[in-house]
Amino acid sequence: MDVTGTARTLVGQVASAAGRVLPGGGTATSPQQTLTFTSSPTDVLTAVRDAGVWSQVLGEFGAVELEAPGRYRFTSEHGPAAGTPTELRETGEVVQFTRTEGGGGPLVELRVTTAPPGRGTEVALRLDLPLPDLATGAATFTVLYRLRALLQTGEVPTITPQPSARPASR
Amino acid sequence: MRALVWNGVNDLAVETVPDARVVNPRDVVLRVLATTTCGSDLHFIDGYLPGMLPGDVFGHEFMGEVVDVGPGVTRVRVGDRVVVPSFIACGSCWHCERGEFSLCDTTNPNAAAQQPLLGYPSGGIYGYTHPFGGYAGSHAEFVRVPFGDVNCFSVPEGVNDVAALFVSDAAPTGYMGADFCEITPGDTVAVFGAGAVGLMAAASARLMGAERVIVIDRLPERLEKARTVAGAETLDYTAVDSVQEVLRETTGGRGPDAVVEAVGMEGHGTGVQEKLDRAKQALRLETDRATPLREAILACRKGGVVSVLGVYGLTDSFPMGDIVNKGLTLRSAQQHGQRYVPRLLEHVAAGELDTAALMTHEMPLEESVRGYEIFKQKEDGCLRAVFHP
Repeated sequence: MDVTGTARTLVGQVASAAGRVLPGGGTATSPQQTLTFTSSPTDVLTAVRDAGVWSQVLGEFGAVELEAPGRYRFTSEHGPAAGTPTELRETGEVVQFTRTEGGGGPLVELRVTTAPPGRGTEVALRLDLPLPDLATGAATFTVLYRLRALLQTGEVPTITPQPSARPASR
Repeated sequence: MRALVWNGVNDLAVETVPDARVVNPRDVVLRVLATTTCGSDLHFIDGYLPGMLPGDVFGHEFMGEVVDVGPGVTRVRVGDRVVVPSFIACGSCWHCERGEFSLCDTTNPNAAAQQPLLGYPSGGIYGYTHPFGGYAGSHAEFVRVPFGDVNCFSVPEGVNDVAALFVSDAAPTGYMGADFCEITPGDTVAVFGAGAVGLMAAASARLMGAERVIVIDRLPERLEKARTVAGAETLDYTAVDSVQEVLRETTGGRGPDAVVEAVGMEGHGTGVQEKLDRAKQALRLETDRATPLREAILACRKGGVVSVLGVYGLTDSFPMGDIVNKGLTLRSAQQHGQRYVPRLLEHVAAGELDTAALMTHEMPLEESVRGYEIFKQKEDGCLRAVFHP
């Protein structure tokens, strides 16, 4: 069972999928992943407006660029060079990055809810990816896990690079 | 650098790999001074646990000297001699704040691979399977330690490298297992398994005030260690008709107040169920030979605590009815080492806990393939082999 290879593949597809989203896609049926952060709702909402934060959680697989106030472009080395332009829409505790070209629903939807006392903030994430639900769910979980780690520790956990006897790391 | 790598089932080699280095700002890099075998490594070496990749550097129980620190490290200094718990903790997530360090919410880079297996991913660990993070391990000249300020503990001057080494994993795992037993004066604690973790659980139970500690195993040299290192009574399960009867009779018919299981999925035993487990495991129909776990549950007195430290996968014929009908409390965890290491170093420095006695074989890293063979086969009374890169 090559679980690591599978996980890496899924994560890699997160960013590349941003440029390959099928027209007419929507988030209504995208798998949702939820994690509880120790950060406040305000801190979470502030962080996800930062293109640099998205670039960090996508890591080596992609990047997000702030093109103009409220305008973000998701790019990946695996996707179209032009990337996917999006517009930030905020409604209360919901943040959406909605495609501005080609139609379709939000590429990213993030919802924050105050958790029970002492538990922090519940953060729910949907990514609209042209993948089976299982793969989309795993990719969404990875991005959300990384986001939580970044907000709580200032770092994204990584094993790249690290020593191994595999040819690629020599 | 030179490192011991896993190239496949029962295929280990010492090879040259790139040096470990600082990756994240709060990382520390150690020059490994001592690193040791662990029974849980055998599970993936033997092919019972999936999730390793050919070329992985493994090993998770180690100590060393700090040779590099990231810009975000404030407490640890280059030159410090430190011991590091095997699970990686961030120190600031919800679980770490509650002392549940092996459950850390932020240190597993492969959390998505582990979530379907556990429901909620654990923290990362050095040199183990990729669902547990896939971090490079310590059987190498250098090792990267994330969150160095949280995970590195300075070794007191009076504690030598080998004694400190076992405070990385065997000692805190055993100590935690005894801690789970909530020992009160007069208690009897039984420990299944006289490997390094079982011995440390037995010695810790003594430190915590257990009246009697009874260690069950089959290997004479390990039972001797239990008597000398932990001051325990011992029971060779191959020399009696029924471990249950002996434990019941020797405790006035009450049974041990708490039982620690320190064996895991490749346990030995006697009886028909053990033979059945062995056959099913060989046919890959189950992952565990769980005789010691079942025996531990049967042995515990009514209302007692069963503390499970062994590594298991999916156990067949698990006696859930015994737990319910006897009102047992089942406790378990991977070690929360960061909670216990400071007090363990004090115990070792004070001469109250002999961790160095766990080492039976010592060799250079270059000979570690042979070291694992000796350890796996329990040749020459091997309890733990220690490697010096």
